[in-house]
Amino acid sequence: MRICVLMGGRSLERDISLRSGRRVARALEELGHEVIALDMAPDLVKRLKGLRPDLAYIALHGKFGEDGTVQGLLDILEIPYTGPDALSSALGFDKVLSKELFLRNGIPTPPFQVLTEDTLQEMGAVEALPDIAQHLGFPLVVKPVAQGSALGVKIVSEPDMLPKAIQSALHYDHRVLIEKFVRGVEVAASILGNDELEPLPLVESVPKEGFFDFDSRYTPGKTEYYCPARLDDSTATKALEVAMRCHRILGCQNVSRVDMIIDEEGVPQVLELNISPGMTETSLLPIAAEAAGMSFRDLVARLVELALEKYGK
Amino acid sequence: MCARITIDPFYGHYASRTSQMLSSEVRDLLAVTARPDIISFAGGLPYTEAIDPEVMLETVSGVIREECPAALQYGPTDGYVPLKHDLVEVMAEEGIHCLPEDIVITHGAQQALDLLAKILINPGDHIIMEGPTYVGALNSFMSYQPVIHTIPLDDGGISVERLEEVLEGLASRGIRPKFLYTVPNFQNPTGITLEEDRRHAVLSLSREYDFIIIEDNPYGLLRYEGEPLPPLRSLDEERVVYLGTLSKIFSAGMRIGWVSAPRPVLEKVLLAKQSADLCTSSFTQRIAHRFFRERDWRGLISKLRAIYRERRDAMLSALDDYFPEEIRWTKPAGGLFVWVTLPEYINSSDMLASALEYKVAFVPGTGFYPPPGGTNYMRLNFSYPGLEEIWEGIKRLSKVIKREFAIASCLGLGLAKDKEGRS
Repeated sequence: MRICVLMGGRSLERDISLRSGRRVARALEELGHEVIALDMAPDLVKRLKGLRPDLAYIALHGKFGEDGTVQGLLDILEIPYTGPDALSSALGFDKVLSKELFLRNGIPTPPFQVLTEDTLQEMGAVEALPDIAQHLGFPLVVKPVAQGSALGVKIVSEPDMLPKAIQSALHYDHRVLIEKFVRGVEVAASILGNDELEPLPLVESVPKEGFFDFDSRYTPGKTEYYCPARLDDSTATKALEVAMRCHRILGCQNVSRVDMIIDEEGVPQVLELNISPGMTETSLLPIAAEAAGMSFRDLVARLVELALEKYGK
Repeated sequence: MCARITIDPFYGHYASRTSQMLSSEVRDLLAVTARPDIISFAGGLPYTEAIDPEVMLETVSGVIREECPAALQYGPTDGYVPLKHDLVEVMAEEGIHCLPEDIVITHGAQQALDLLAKILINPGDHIIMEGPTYVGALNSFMSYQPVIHTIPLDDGGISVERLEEVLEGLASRGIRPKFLYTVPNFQNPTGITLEEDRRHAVLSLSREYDFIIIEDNPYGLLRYEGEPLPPLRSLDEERVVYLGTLSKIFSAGMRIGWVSAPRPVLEKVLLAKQSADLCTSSFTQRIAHRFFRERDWRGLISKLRAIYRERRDAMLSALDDYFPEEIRWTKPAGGLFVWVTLPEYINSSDMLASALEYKVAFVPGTGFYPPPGGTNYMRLNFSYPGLEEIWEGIKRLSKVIKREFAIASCLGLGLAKDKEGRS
């Protein structure tokens, strides 16, 4: 098959995406495909039209790659692609929309409030910060609504730090999610499948210092991973069931990774769902696959298979 | 059954100094600046288009035609002697008189920094640097695990009073710092030049407190106005280790730098270099020598000066036209960089993310200080982007900053600072 691996682009996660993409491209070549790696640039459509690939493998992260933009474009060009469709991508990338949908479907997610640059600038929303703090209670997690890889995420333990944390998050998106910080075990559930779902073993992340931020995510040795997670069977099963429900609620196909915290009562609190999970050496999906006995190459092969199945091929 | 997953199977094998070798979020953000649609003030790149490729073709062909076997061979560790004679002439341009045997040629001045750190720094040793300072020196030194003291800069270079305070403080604890690292001319990242009387003051402190001065001078010949100041090395041959480079006046890609130092230090550098790489490339040294022998290298420097002066002027005018009043920046008389000071409540690393949205890039200040300093500064390079790009880029950056101000103000951040400032 002729497969274009879409990677890079202008997103802030360009470097991570290039790392994911190169690794995927190598695996696809080993699987015998004709592989063309494409750094997403203004000539993308022209190149795709010229190449007419049988499949586009989306190894993009962040804005344009993970938010439904490129998926919508590929739909227009009638090029099959890996991962969830445009709508599911858009829902997954928007942490507020996905949390709202989770709540409406009875999925536990930490309580939250949203502030936008407009409410701050046009309506003096800074005056509402004490109310937000009162509703949610400290510590809080402040993050951009639409951004991956923990960029712009801050944990805030006291009122004075809140404005600075919001300022920081606003660099990455015009909307800011302020969420109650939930103490517990951080796990990621990777789900493969279209109609029938196969959950992979949970991966537990324990950052050596602070929290699971950008550096801890991508620097080997800065975070310890356990797979399967160190949870009792019933808690783990419950977490995987919740993750599969999230996958279905957002209408995902092929793959998703649901990040959650198992709180002190053992309840899986869903933080977000990623539609283009990282595929680097330190990424959680490949770790989970490995624990399930799938090599990286097996995982890539399975994702291609699932993509084709989605298009009835 | 749960298993601890080891991402890097060799994690336990690394030396502790690797923990000082940092990767960062900022580096990942800067990966985006490689995109052609982004106007980047981030690099420190010289304008290599200034050299005619035909000239290089002839120069390189000459080396291959006339001295191929030697160019493909190992060379002496201290460097190719004919090139050393050229470097003596380059140094003489700035008033430094030394002999070819006082020079060891290195793989860029960057290698000299690493070799010096290797021969001078034991873990826990104290060293003194400018704050901010050249990021390449900082990273090179940090991997040898010293305690770093930074001395703030003003328009005249490092604060001599502060330096003296630090030295006294250390002396009272029985500590003698190993060296002071300084870029006295058009410093990277600030563009600031060390005033002449401070040069004398720093030298006299180095004698009083017995420390070495490492004078790194990549930009000295790139002066666009005013009279040159005497290099520290020309004022005191006994205490100053001098680093030079051809990167900014000929080619950064050739990787040719040098160190000129008091004899005993030079001996140690030579030993360290021997074990590091045996010798600098014979091929590039011979190319450089041929270029300096046959071509008008002084003319090339004049040409670069004219190009960079025009670009510096464009950047300073654009900054005047577009940037809000609250922002300050240096007005360098030479070199490649302008250093911008933002209000303290603005974090320039975060701001880089929004700047990339506006398709413009810079280097945030944090890289130029030992962690966690430097959050409200940015370094702008003017040597690489063209004039139109400079104007457009500064215009974009001003929009980013104005949004920044608007956000800070609606969050009460700027205001709070004002109150503090007034009280």
